[in-house]
Amino acid sequence: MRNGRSVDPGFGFCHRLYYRCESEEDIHGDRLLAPRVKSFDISVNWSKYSKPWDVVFGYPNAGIALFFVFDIKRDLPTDRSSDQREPVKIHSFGPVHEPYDNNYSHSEIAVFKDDVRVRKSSAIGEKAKKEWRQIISDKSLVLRRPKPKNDLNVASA
Amino acid sequence: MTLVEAYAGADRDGPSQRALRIYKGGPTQKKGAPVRLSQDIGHDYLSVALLRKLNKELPSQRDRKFAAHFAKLDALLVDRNWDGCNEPPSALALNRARAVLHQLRADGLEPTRIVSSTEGGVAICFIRGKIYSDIECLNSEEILGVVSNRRDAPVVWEIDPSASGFARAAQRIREFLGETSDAYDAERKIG
Repeated sequence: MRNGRSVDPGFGFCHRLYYRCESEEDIHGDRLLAPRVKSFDISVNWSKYSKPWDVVFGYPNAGIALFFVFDIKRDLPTDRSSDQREPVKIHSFGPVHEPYDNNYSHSEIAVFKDDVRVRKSSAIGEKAKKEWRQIISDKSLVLRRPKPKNDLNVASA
Repeated sequence: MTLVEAYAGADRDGPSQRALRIYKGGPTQKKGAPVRLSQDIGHDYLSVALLRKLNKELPSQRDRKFAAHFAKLDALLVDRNWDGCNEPPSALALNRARAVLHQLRADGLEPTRIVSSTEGGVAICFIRGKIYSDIECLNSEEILGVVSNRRDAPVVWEIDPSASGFARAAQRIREFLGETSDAYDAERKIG
């Protein structure tokens, strides 16, 4: 519970962020599957104020993945070459504390452009979004697999 | 009448009939189960041209593997059970993913999984241990490719929505995965 506490901007580099994955489609082995990761305002729980299992409270079939703050603080895209006249816009990704009344640890991975938080997904370039989702996938570690919901998966032997 | 039946009907007790029996599995196989002829057996009984035609008529192992992926695309097309947060793949995205899959089948590069994208679209994923790559056909009409070894920064590029663009992407992914096309080429020589 928040209990009137103010927003805490003190993310340490080694702090962990816990992410809820809802279905088997979202993961492959021990990692999140990049196309199943959202690129904008991802909701996570901050390890400073929560335990991993808090993120699946009320979602008994969901899985848990984690990543570290130092892995996700990035300026993207990495490739800044462009065949256009205008230079490539740099997007800064990083966690921000967005506490809820019933979940003080709730945080979001926000995107900033020129130090202003981007509020619309369409304002971010597709290549930057794609690279970002891939980084999240690469750096994620699945702690608990979600329970199978349906049989839509096609996985080769 | 199939090519096999026509061929069998031409000479009921001759070498072609024996060839057909072998082609359909012979005494050691389940009755009627079609199998592909090995080059050694086939050349004893059939001309190279006919052998090629016969093998073309049967679905190869690769075709069967790809059938599951095409079925997944069909499932995504009819599945309307979306959670409200994610945008379902558009008809264009699905058609493009199908075209990419045809190219991959022609190149003998089998994907690991096909999933809908949370950004709206379809992704064809290739995973070999820590090596990852995908081709994502987005509802926004862009097609993006990515390769990653999970250690270095991933590389993202735009894919031209054309047959040559898909072929180049497949080649790039194949090289990244470190797969050769030798096995595929060998299979083609028989077929």
